[in-house]
Amino acid sequence: MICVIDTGISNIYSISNALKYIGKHHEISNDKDKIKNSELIILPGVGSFGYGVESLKKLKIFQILKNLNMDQKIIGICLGMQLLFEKSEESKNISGLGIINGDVLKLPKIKKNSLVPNIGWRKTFFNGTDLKFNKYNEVELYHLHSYYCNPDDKGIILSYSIFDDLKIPNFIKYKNVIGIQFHPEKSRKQGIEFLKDCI
Amino acid sequence: MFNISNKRLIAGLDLKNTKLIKGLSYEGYKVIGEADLYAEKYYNNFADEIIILDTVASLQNRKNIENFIRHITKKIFIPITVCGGLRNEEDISNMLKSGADKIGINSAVIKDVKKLKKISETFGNQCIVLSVEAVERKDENWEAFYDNGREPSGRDVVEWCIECEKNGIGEILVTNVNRDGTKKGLDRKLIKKIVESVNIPVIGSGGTSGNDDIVDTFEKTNVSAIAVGASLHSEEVNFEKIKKKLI
Repeated sequence: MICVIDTGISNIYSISNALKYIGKHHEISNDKDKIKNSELIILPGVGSFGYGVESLKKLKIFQILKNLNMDQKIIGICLGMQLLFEKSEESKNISGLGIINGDVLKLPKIKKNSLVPNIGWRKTFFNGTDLKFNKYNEVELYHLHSYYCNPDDKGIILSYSIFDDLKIPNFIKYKNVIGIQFHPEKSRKQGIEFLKDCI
Repeated sequence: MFNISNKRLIAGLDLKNTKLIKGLSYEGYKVIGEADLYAEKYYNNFADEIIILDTVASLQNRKNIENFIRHITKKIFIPITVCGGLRNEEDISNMLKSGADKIGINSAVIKDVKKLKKISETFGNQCIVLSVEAVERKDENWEAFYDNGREPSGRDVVEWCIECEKNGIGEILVTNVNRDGTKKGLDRKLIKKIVESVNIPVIGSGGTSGNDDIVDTFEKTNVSAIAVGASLHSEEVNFEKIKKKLI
């Protein structure tokens, strides 16, 4: 069973439509028992870090996500990826799920050519550690974010995009956890295919 | 020379119920056809995003737009922004739940900029687009209007954009109301002035005349994106041609 978590502020129908397109049966829910019994949990992302954490706590699913079983897979998309980390510069006094060690940083305003938020199609560069994803090397995927994840263990980074001279980790994989900074559900066919390969 | 793959070409669709309509300077709207067919056509023809403007902005029409978004996002996998008549957190949340990715706001915040700060904090600033309806005044000045180009706010467009950036807006869509639908050419002076005054992405719109107008405007104003309506409907603009020519 795939469960797409409904936090109330996310673009869940986009994810849902993408899953339907690739024929993946799923439920949109914030029900504790459903989440506990799902094999795959998708945590989508629109909103701020603080508001995202608050929503998960209000729905009483924060602890459930924090303590997933190893046979449960979780995919965090955009803010959903950021929520997997310990903390964020966006909401300084609020702790994230802490499933991944590291923090979330604000994109620096380096020069006029790279504006924040970072919006648009960005080439994605894969480092080749997961052969399954090499076909997406240099493929353009849609990014929409003001913050980026900085995992302590750089070994979990599978790909990055370029923001001025900075390498932005935009796809991470650690045991049963996947984080995607871009929006595969908004990146045309190549994005939908990518999501399919993650599932 | 700029890099086209860092620029966005956006299809701008004005909607009344599920019909695609277009007017001249926000007046005298005519029906062009079924909006879903046009949305799909532009998706297949290399649009990077779609902006939907609810021209009626009544409660009923908002429900119609929500259903419309649910319908088109089954097949269209690019970002969709909805503008028009969204006044509070509940409206925004419902539209996002229907499949919209970004929300354009104007009337809801033009009299109370503090509301903008709250909305940006809740939904994240990457989700909120300031929609600016710019009406030409003397000596290269523009006044911000609201309620679909009907009501003057008394605010200078550039100052308004700067104030909204301070209050957490993530992106600005600026439309020259006088030129909208006329195909007389984008207002590069207006677009350039805003691009140089803020540090967030700007989408220029209103009066696009053709492919060359788009390329020249990217070149001369450094704007991040251009939204096209009338010239796209009449096929004087072709996104695929622009992209292939410049890659």
